[in-house]
Amino acid sequence: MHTLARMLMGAESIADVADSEAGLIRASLNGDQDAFAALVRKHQSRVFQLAGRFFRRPEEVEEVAQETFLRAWMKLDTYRADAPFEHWLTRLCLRCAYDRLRQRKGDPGALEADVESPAPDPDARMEVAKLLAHLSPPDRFVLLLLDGEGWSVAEIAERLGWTRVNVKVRAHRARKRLRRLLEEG
Amino acid sequence: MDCRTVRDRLTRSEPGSEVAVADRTHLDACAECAAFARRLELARETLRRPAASADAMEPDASFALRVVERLPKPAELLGWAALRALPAAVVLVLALLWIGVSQPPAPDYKDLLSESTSPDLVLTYAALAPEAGP
Repeated sequence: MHTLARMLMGAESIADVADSEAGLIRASLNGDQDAFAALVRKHQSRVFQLAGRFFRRPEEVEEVAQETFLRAWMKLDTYRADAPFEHWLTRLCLRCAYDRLRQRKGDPGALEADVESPAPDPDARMEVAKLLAHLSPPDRFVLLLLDGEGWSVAEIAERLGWTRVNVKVRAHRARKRLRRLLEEG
Repeated sequence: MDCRTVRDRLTRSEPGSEVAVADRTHLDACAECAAFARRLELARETLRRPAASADAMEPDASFALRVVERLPKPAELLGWAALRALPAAVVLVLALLWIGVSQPPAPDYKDLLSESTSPDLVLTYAALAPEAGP
């Protein structure tokens, strides 16, 4: 009985959360910036976590997170409630990160972060990190999602709005280039 | 088994998945492929770690306010709407100008007094200036 009550309360609270989120989205669509600020506060941690996977500098993480929410505000009328709002926001964040990575070709900024962290073989880690910095931004992006986030091809396709074939082709190319880099290194 | 096949399989394998027995046997015997496998594992480890430090991955309390400050103001949106309507407005003005320029000049009232005035000219004048005339 106690468990059932807790389950019912849990279900209710989930419904409440969904309702309140839908309400915030509706209000934001009507131009209510306070409602949008509440939406931002609700999802900002997830967006920062995701942006932090791609960018080392805090100001870049912040910039990508801000850009994500600005795009969300401008495109809110395209959000369809048949999927969770968080998925839609994730897609926007990934696209922002992807666009930013593409813009800064030749700047190997994203993946140099962990060379200072303790490791069994710091020299080898540093060497590998330098090799990874030679990957093109689109290649790094796909490898981060596959090997970093551990997402499947289907998950990447769904979250980015790409076709599975597109993801497979990109993944194949990225892995081929990674292999070549590791062989040459 | 050749090095190329083993490296290809390792690169395409899921991170953290078991290495096949045949590949493991090859890695034990081939130092170059074993070094490649170690570098691949390190590369994947590096990819698994977030690029940013833990601090950078947490928004501060005023983040939402900074976002709201950057939201386009209604005036800016009006400006954008006006800018988007500009080409249509230019086309409209040009079309009106063209209509005005291509319109034949109104016949002079004196022309109607001549004996050779055609009935068409009289009708045109009547249509363009019905209130004028003799």
